[in-house]
Amino acid sequence: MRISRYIPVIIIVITLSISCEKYNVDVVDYNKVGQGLFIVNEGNYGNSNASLSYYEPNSLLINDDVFTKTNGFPLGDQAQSMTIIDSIGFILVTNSSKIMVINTKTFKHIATIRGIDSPRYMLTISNTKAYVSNMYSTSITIINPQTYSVIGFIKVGKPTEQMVKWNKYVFVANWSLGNTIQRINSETDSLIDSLIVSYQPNSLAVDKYNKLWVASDCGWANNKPIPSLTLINATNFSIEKEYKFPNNRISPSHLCINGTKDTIFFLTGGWTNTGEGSNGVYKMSVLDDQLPDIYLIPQGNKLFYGLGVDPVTSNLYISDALDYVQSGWIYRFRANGIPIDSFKTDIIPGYFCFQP
Amino acid sequence: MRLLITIVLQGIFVLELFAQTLKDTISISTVDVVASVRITERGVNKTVIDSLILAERLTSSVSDILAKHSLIFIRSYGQGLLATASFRGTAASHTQVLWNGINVNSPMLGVADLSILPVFFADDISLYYGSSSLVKSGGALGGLINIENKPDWNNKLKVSLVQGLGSFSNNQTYAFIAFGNSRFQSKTRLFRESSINDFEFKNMESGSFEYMKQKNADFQKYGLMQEFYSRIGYNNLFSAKVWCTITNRNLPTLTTNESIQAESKEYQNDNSVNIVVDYKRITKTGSILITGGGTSTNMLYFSGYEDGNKKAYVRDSSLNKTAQYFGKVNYLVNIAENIGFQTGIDFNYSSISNINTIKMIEDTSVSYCANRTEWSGFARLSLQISNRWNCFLIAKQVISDSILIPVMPSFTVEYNALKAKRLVFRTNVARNYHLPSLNDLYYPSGNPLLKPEKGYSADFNVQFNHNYSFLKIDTKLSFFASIIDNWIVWKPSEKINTWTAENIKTVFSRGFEYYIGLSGNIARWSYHAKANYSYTRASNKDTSSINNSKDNSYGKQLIYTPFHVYNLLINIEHKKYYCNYSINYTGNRYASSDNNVNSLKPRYLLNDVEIGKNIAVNNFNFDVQLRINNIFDIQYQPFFGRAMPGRNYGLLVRLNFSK
Repeated sequence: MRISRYIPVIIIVITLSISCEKYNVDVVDYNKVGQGLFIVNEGNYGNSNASLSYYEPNSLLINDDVFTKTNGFPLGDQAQSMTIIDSIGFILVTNSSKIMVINTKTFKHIATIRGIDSPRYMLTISNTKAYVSNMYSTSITIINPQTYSVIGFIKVGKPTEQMVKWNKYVFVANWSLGNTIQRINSETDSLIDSLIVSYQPNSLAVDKYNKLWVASDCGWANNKPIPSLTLINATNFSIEKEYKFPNNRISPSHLCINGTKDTIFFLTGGWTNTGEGSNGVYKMSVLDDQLPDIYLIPQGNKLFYGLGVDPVTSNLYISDALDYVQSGWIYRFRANGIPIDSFKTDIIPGYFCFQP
Repeated sequence: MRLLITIVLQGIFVLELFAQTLKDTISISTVDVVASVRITERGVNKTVIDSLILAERLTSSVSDILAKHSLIFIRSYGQGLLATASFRGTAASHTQVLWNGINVNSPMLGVADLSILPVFFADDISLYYGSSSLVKSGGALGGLINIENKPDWNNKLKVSLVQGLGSFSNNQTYAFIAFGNSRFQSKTRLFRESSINDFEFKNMESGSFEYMKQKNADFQKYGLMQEFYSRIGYNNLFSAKVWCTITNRNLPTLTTNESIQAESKEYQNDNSVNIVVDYKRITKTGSILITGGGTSTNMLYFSGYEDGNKKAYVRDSSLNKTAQYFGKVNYLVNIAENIGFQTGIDFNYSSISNINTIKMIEDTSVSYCANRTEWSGFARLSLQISNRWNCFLIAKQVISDSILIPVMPSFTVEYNALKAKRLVFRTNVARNYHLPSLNDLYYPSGNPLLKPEKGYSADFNVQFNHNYSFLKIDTKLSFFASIIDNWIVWKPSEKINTWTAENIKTVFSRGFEYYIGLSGNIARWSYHAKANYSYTRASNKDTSSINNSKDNSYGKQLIYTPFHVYNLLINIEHKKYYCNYSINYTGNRYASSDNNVNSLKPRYLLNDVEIGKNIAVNNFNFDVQLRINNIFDIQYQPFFGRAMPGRNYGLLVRLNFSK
């Protein structure tokens, strides 16, 4: 039959007539002025869906996924934190082993800093030097934030997490399976000494009285020790006081300090909305002798994941990760716990970066 | 590679000239498979993967075949990497995989990696949808994949050697030898596959938007399968089968990863041994089947790097060992001409051990061991009420570690609207339970209070087939609905920094599936055309989502569950030449539970073509096949950040000898 001759042609025509969706790389141009707030949405591990949101408190406008919309490609996998130097933003993407550098007004990608194993937090030391902590490496990476390049390493022998600078010293939390705070001389980039605190110190802050506050979650074992806050004298690097929590089901994290450095805030529970009814956001004066009896803001049926304190207004920003696979929400509160409003961001909002 | 293709094409035509001088013998058989009419199989919504596909795609993995020629959604993390199967919007753990009657799902993870098994090692692959799986096993809330090996009692000697070469240094070697007589048969299969797997792809997830080569994605796979079959008379059948695999895979990073640490390594090595021995006695009124077997797997995962002194630094490393032992007795009897009864008892013991070394700090290994003993019994009654009406009842009872799981009942009614069962209406309702995996229960600190996942399902299908003089048609339309309660989800626990499994979700999955197969001859051309389409709506019905006004996941499609899937295969044969053209479409999927448009993963349509030629000389059969995958060089990702190869080529040469 003659039709048989046309079979290959028919197949090709059918195939070509079926369209395929192309990757969309249309981009949006922004040019933001004013003091907005960046929200780093961690995304799901292994899914490369981390994102960056930009919130403008004055106009209450939230701009979602500004990095991808501006640049046409995603931020990466598991974005942890962000640091701003002048108008340059450094977004640390842990599971993509890179720091994405952007213009904080236009959100345009400027550079990618590679060669960092698992970047977690960045601490500015000077115009030409910043430290980057690593979750899966035993060194702190030194970068030059002006040339966007790695310029050195500090061997510390342990994974590193949050860092805080006080005078010439940098205090480093060895969170992941660690129990120490390390002290580094930022002039010589050398490890000086370390101090044992409760297991898994996750966040740090220095108050107006030159005291270093450390929150330790004590890990996840069923029979884990009691979590605590540790107060360290930054001057002589010695423990002054340990604030033990009532039981090992209350784990503090996301310790923050206000702009006047006289009040600390922290989350307990975090991660989960099951179990402890006493979980939520806690507020504490740096002069208090004991832990607060009750939360400032209860977690309720939410899933508090991140906490930030506006250094100017002291307003609280609390993220709710919901089920971890949908757009999270941010709740704003005044420092006294009175709610302001809420807005939606993206998957697992975890870090708040206020423009200096 | 293009030069190679040219040479092969010319070679095929030269061979054609040569073959014209030789006597004409059989080509690869294009066997049309119809549903079995055994009493145990009647009343079942089942699809058999066409033997034509198995014969001509024997160097593919089972996951590849199912992705392209069935409606199962294969969750693949990349070429050669972990691939699991999901039916009808359910999870991969809701799919049971049986190999010659024993469950090869990992008792630790609850899923089976289908990328490890090559089609070359399977004689028969059947898919049991929804509650139809209860005729084979409990716990398959989505469905069941049944892989079987069979003897050919007429065989005296058959030898087959297959060599495949493909893009990205893909090298496949297969060997098969079967010998015996009408009382004893032995089949031995060996395979080796390796690939550097350094395909080029356009990286749209890094700022460069450039083409780059996939790194650290090479793999080596080895396999051995030995089968012995024996029968005394025609009533006593013995068989023993062993299947061993060794799979070493490097794991590529995500496309967003820009690590430049050259020494960085991530790999996974899997070894497995599966053994099954059975005895079947056929009586005048039925049969009894006694099966024993076991599986053993070792899986080593490593993520880390080496320093200049070759000292390894571990980011994350785990060594997992699993063992399962099975025992089964299955008795089938035809009580009367219109009544069949089947009953059986299953025993399954699973044990696992896990050693997890976290990070590079000393003394941070975490380990756990766990085991589980399951007993189950079932009964199935088949009633032919009239010439047109049949009904089937199943009741299955499982006892897991002394805990009685509620009965799993299933009821099916079948109506034959036309004579010779050409038009069949079938409906089924059932309840099924899926036990948590041992990881769900015990890792890392575990949740031993987990309940089994509970599924209620209903299925209605219409099947029609007929042989016209010029056309054979086989078609089936199925509607399905299921509610799965206590769906297990891993989420961060109250013990900070760890995740545990919890009974959280309720999922309502419904949709329909359509299949049509046409075959026939036009002039001297023969053709087969097979098409599948499914629409699946699998939505979250977790009521806690409603209670939180910010939670937008209620009623939304489950993540990575495509609404639309379809595929088409057209096979044309003419004078020992054949051409297979297949297309495979996977629709849009969301990666967020609130179905945020930003999380939408693009649909993709892939086109593959094979052309080949069979040449027979005396007892030898020679087959050359050229294959082009992803003809239009589509850049696609089943999962975000997981690169897949564009257009690629394969050449396969097969030499068969049979006596």
